[in-house]
Amino acid sequence: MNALGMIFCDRYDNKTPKSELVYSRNPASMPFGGRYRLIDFTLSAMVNADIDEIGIICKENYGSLVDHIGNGKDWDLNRRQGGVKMLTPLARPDSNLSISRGRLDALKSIKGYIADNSYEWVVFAFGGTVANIDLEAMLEQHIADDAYITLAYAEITAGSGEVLLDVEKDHTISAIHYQKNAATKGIYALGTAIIKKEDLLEFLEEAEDNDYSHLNRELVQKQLGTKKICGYCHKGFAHIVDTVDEYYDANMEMLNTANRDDLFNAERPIYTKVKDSVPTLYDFGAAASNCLIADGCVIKGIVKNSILSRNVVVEEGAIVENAILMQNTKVGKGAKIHYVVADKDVTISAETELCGTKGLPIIIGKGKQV
Amino acid sequence: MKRNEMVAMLLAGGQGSRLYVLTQEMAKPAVPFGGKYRIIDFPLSNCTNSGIDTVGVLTQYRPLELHTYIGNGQPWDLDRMHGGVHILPPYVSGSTGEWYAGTANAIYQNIQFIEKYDPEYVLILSGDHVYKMDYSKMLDFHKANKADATIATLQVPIEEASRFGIVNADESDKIYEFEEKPAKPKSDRASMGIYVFNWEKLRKYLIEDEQNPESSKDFGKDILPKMLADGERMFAYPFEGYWKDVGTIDSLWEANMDLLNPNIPLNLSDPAWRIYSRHGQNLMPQYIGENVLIRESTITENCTLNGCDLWYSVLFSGVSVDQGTKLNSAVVMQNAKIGKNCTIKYAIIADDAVIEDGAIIGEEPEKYDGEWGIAVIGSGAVVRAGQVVRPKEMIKPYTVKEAE
Repeated sequence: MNALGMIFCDRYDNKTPKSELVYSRNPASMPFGGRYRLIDFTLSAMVNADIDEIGIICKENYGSLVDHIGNGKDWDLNRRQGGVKMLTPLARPDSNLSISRGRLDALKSIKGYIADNSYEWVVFAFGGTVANIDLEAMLEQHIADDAYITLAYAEITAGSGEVLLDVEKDHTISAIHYQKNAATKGIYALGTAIIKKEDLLEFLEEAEDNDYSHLNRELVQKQLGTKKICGYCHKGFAHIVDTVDEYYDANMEMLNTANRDDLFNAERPIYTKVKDSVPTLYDFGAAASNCLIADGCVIKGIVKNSILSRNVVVEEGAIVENAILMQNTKVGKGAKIHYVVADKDVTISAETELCGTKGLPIIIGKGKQV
Repeated sequence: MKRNEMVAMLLAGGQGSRLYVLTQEMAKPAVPFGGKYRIIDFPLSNCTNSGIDTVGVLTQYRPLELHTYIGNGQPWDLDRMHGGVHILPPYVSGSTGEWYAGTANAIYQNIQFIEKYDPEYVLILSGDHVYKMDYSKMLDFHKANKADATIATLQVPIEEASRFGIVNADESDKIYEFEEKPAKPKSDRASMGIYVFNWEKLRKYLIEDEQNPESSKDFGKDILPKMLADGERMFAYPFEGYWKDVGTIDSLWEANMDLLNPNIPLNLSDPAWRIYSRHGQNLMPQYIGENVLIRESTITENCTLNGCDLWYSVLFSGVSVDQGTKLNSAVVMQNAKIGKNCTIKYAIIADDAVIEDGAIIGEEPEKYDGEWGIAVIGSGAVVRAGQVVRPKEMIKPYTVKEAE
């Protein structure tokens, strides 16, 4: 695919209820499904569509993401030509760009990078969306529709701040709305879009001249009716990970075999950073049911309906239920935890009892001891 | 040009004929081990962890799998600007050319490769053993003794010593005698097939040995005895720790079981001494479904388990085990599919094998009257529904076991 990939790692709307989980990293580098980071889905979709030059646009807290991506080798993106590039924020005193105003400012600040590339298309995407989008099929439709811009959408449940689309039979988008209420089912934009590079550059010029600040409003909403703006329906699994609830639900949906088969389909594999953990060891007294478990764990207790990342230890007599335990979590002897999300390096002492509920899981921040 | 103090030469050409169906398609060092490793990961990781960054891997028998696996050496950090891992197959030169006639001949044929790095020492390794060893300590020992050759040795039970090449050394570890599989061993120090040589010395002996038509061109049989006879300084380096020759079906199975035994010092999760391996980039975490009972087993990425019982078993990536199946002391390699209601005991199931519903494979030794052994299903073999594979029986790769 003759395209440049651009991934936004942050939300810019400030509406998102911040949770302790994103204090130490940006949304795109949230751990997911026991071994992934959210950005892996977007990155892999691009790699699987033969996009071999990808810019990752970061706003803040990108240390963990830089560590995850490294030189891009795990996505086959350590190339002489192209490859992956971290585009860190640029705010110069002599320009009117600011770090946090929005995606549009971020794009303006890397206009030179976009212009320097010889690709025909630009695909931009939000690194916090969990979906395995077939970008080649999307581009095919975009070309067939002769669209100005095509936005990927899916019929899913999403919450406040997300973009709802009215899509006609001929793929054109007739209206866009912003979800202001609690999560409901609807047709939501997934944050992935395809546009011709020349058109994007022209738009960015115009945006600079007029000091536009809002990407969706200026590029999409204002041009509805004058330009051909289309939607591409992604039929598979999709989840926009936004709030803590969304995060918890999206993870738990991975326990459903059909969802896993769809998201991790063999034709478009999901790549992630490879670590050399040993296989997981189940000791005497271990029991597991309906769990997704990464390598390097030692399980001596009981785990149910849970997702365990690398190197989690569940000691004897401990019971872990409906929990998401990130890397290096230690659950002490006889501890009982239900509906808990434990960030990296959390230690839960022996005999501790923690009980959240489905709508309100207990969140334990990185490195804490309970 | 940067100079390398010590270059490692890894002899990986062995067929491993006593692994029968498991090495029909690949050389022994490429045989899978421990859920996500291959045997060659151990010497390669040991090299990296010991600070050796130049490794020649000498291949000969069925090298495709091994060559693909090693690739550019990146998983072991051996894709280096200077040195790194190099695969050295036998070659033709002008009108002559030959297979490696023996371990010494294999090194002899690659003198040019070693010279390129101008090393002071050469480390000779084999790709047949599971162990963790710091070769830099062995080199320190070699230097401290001002030795010409140092042989790593392991203490073995004296009653088993007659199965090994035995090294007899004095209190200062200076070697005065070798005994190859002696009926009455004088000591319990077995050679591990790991040698450090001063390169100048070894080079001389290799060239001399090549001229000798009587020689079998082997380190153990020719080079080492000749050096000792000539009065060279040779020392026995005492190694302590886990070491296992996985050259037979039984020993390969045992070494896998050793991983599950907390009392055996084979800890692969030591962050200070990692065992690296090349593995899938796109493997999901394992999924453990409903009603799964797991006891003292290890399971890795992309496995799917539903309603089965696992006792003392090692599952490689991508293995699936279905409802009602019972595994006891089984080693199941990559992507093998095991159906419903099977009983599998004391068995090795190689990669991509398919075990259909209700098959019975292997048996506990105490419950079997015939000649007992580990049952082995070769790569890609199919065991049809309800078929029985007896202990010690082997199903050849890509064949079908069905009712006769």
